[in-house]
Amino acid sequence: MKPTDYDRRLETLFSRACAAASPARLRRDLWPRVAAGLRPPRPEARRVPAWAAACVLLAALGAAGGTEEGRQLLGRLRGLFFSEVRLRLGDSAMSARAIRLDAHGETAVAFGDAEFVFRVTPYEKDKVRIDVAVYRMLPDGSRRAVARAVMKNRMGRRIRVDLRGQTGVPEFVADLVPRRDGGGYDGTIAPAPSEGGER
Amino acid sequence: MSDEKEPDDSEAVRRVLEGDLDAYRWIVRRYQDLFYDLALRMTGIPADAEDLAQAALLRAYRSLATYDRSRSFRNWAYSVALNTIRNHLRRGQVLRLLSLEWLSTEVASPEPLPSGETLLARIEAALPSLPVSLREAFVLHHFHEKSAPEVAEALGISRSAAHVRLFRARRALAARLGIEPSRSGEDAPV
Repeated sequence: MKPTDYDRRLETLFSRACAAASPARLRRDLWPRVAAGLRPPRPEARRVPAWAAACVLLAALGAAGGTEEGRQLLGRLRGLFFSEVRLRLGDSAMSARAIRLDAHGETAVAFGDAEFVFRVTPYEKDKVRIDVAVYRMLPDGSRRAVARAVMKNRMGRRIRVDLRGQTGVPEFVADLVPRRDGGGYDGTIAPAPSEGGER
Repeated sequence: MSDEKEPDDSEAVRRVLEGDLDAYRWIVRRYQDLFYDLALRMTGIPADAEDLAQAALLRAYRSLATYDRSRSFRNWAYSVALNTIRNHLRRGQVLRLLSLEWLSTEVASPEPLPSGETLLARIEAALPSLPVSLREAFVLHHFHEKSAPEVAEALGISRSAAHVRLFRARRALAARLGIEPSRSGEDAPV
């Protein structure tokens, strides 16, 4: 690929513009946190691996199965794992929603006074483009477009997408699982866990 | 400690490899802002960029034994940081919700050939839309002032491949920013 005059001109233009950029600076020194990571963790500070926690849960369920205590335990677990995430955007209460996206289709998901519209468009041999538009529903029944994003992905791959606002803070998480028939995705969209939650 | 002369990269690395963990602080303090800036320009998200800078510095420490001391430490450290950032971008796709006001000015009414700060702001806004391979070449060359051979070394690609990525990145950005060859009175791109 041989550079043309246009390429040389672009190089000069971009070099001149980028030279004016101020390098981003951290607001704190990373050394204390990095230094903590350089030393091997003490045995008592080790976390229980996820698989071990799952085994503990299964063992507890197995031990308590069929008893009243077991039913209570299952109820508590359902409460823990199936409770809906809730937050407020403006004046609207929000909760997780199941979504089903068809290839070549459009799906609207309402969240209080906000509406997410997903559109799936296959392109090339095995790729898919997903457009997400966010609308605010107005009192007169009309809707106003608030934000828009586009994502491209390979067909058949699970997609977990953080939808972030202009400040970079995650606002929603969409988890899309491809359907076996290749006709689209099933999944959920939910408000992102708060900053204090586990990342 | 405050009177200690700051060692250069190779001296700091030598001391760390000899077991002086504390010497790694020179590396951290020399590279943390560079890696933060790199990660921020690649991801566009300050919180992620800080985590990635930290992760890259830890990863570099853990891989230090594999560092070939005949190579530039700086380029090696950059390649570690870029791998960390690339893995992060691969793991979770992030969509930034762009306000429509921004989109409409960007798409509907491209300004005449912009200059100075206006162009810089528009470059920074358009960067996340570039493919990762082009974005990293552009950021290294234009924001971190690395020559094409240094870009090639940091990315682990040939020099000609680095040149091609830079051409493509600039052309893709120019197309997004509405900078057309006809406007500048130059020849048309191939």
